Amino acid sequence: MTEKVLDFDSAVKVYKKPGFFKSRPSPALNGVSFSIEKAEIVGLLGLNGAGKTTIIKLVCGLIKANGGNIKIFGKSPDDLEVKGRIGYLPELPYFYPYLSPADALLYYGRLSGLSPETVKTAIPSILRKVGLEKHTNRRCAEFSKGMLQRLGIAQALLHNPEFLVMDEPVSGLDPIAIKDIRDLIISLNSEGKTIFLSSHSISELEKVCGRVIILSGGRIHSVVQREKWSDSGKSLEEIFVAAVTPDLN
Amino acid sequence: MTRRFKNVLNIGFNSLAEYLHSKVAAFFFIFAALLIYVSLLLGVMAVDQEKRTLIDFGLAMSELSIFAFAIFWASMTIQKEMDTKTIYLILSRPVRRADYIAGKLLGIYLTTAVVYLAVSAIHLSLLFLKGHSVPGIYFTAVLFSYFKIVIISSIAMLITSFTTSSFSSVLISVMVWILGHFTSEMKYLLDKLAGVKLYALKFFLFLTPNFQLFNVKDVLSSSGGDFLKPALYFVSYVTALYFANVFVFRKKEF
Ligand SMILES: Nc1ncnc2c1ncn2[C@@H]1O[C@H](COP(=O)(O)OP(=O)(O)O)[C@@H](O)[C@H]1O
Ligand SMILES: [Mg+2]
Repeated sequence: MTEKVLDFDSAVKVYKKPGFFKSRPSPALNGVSFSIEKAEIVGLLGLNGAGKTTIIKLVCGLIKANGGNIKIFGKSPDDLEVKGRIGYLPELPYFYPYLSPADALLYYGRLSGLSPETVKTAIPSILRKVGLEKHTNRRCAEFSKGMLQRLGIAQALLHNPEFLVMDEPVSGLDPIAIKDIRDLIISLNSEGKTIFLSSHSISELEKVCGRVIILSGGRIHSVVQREKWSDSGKSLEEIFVAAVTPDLN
Repeated sequence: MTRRFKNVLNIGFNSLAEYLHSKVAAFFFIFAALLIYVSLLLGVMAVDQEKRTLIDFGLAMSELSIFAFAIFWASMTIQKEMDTKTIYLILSRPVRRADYIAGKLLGIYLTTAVVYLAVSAIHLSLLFLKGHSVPGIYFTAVLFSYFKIVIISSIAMLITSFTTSSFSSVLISVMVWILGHFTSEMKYLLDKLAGVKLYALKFFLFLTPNFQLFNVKDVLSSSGGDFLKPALYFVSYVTALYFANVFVFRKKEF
């Protein structure tokens, strides 16, 4: 049997929207179940507001589920040992503008429990991996969106995590950055890392994922295996549009 | 050094660096320098009382400007990390929430200490330039005033955590600051108006920090220089505020 990295069992998330007198409940996930096995690349596909970021924040322990059960490496997302084995790229990562990429990595690497010496020796190769080696002496204030995204990936890889969770890793980037990040994802996966990424871009997920989870209105509509869109004539786009169309009416 | 202690130091010093790189730093120094300059003018006007006026007003003005800065910074610091999402990069790592809070509090204490040292340095140079010697009590007064700043900034951070609004936090902190300087008068009033319904008010007064304890001149004149009581009060009050901050922050979502 293969090892389960992530397991969602009927996860429910209801946000509280602050209201005038009382906070109003705002449901985001309505009984979501799926699992991810070691060395898979799994995509989370959905329109804006489908609940992708919510699922990813649950994985990273930034928010808590109101129902159901979530296990990562068989443990709770709050477990500190588990957190040390995850690399997380948030949607649109931000870095203190006055820091150089190396200083930013030093700060986050130390918070991941690495010694300053370990981080310092790892920095050049990490920056090369994400294509920032030419910009080591610049401040983050001068960074473009694509460069911030690359640095975001670098901070997620620093502690060599087994499980990489990326929220919209390529949205809004130029074609070169998209290709670089796609190649990086594939190469990290070939090293045995498990990768879970969200996107609203069908073509991007189609190129890297072995499996795509289609999310619509806080529920899983379907889970599509790569063979479905690579072998049969039906494209992932057709499958996806068919999945979300009833909701749009 | 344990892992947890390292995290706290790391977050605290990062917070200090953030301040030193911010525009607030420059703005604040102009403000403080201006206030000290005002006390200088007042000193000149006071003629024969020049030295005393210069010391007392300078101290009061330093405290006032650092108080304004401290509640502003304490109400903003976590909110800002939430807005920029840098908090995601921290709390998704093996860092306990309690340690994050301790780091953020340490960051404010360090920042206000640096600012206080800088402002006091300006004040002291003015005194020296005017040819005045500085009494030893000056340094105790600054230390005790810093204790008040530590307390009020921990309160400001706590209020921001549960009102989730920086504006109301600043407003409430100003009220607590004022009330805290009149606790004995308030207590006197409440005792006169004795009644069952006042228990709630009395309890509220009990929670309000007693800043009068940190008035160095009072300590010297009334208890003959017993600084142990205010020091103990400070330590227990700040410890309680740390736990309150951790408690409120424990279930917060981002
Ligand atoms: N902090 C929040 N408070 C209230 N509602 C939220 C919050 N975050 C997200 N939501 C709502 O939850 C739903 C799912 O959001 P999200 O997970 O961000 O979607 P996606 O990442 O797929 O665009 C949306 O309807 C969104 O408005
Ligand atoms: Mg999203």
